[in-house]
Amino acid sequence: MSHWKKFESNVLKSVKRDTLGKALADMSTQLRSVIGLDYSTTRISNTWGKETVTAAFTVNGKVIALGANLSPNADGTEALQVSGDFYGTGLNENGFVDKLAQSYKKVDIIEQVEEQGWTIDEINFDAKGEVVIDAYRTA
Amino acid sequence: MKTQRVRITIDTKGNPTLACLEGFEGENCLSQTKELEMVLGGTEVDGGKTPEYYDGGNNPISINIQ
Repeated sequence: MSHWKKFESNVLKSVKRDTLGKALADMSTQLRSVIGLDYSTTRISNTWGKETVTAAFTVNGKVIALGANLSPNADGTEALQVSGDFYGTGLNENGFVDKLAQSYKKVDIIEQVEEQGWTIDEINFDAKGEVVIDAYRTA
Repeated sequence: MKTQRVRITIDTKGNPTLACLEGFEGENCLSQTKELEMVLGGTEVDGGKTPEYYDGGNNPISINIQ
């Protein structure tokens, strides 16, 4: 069933493009499909809708009818809104934005925690699907 | 020299929680993880006292980060 929709997440209201790219790479390893953003493609469409976006999502290199709208924030980050139609993309409409938010936070936290002098010991998923990061430092 | 260990849990919607696991004494958990809380973009909702602060309790203290 086709639905042209918009999706947001509190976590994705403040993103950096380089971290977003790393988050998509992290997410790709979990989904076993290569998910990316093509900033050179700003027009997405299918039989049921069309829209101009900041960048089109790609799955295994193919542009799909799903895009990212990035709006600038005052602090230099951008707010991400996912827009389009999941129908026929092979992606899960119900979990995609949450999974992206979790991967984004994971990548962002690991980078910043290491910058603060902590060493990442282990990264795992628990039974609830939460990412568990153990870190240590010698003080 | 003492090794300090923390655990960061990110729920399925991307919200992180910080817990001090070991190597902190008394209120040092809170004071010594301030920089991590800032990194996580957090608002402290727990006093952050370590198990050592309370009568040798064994449960880690969690700090929800939103």
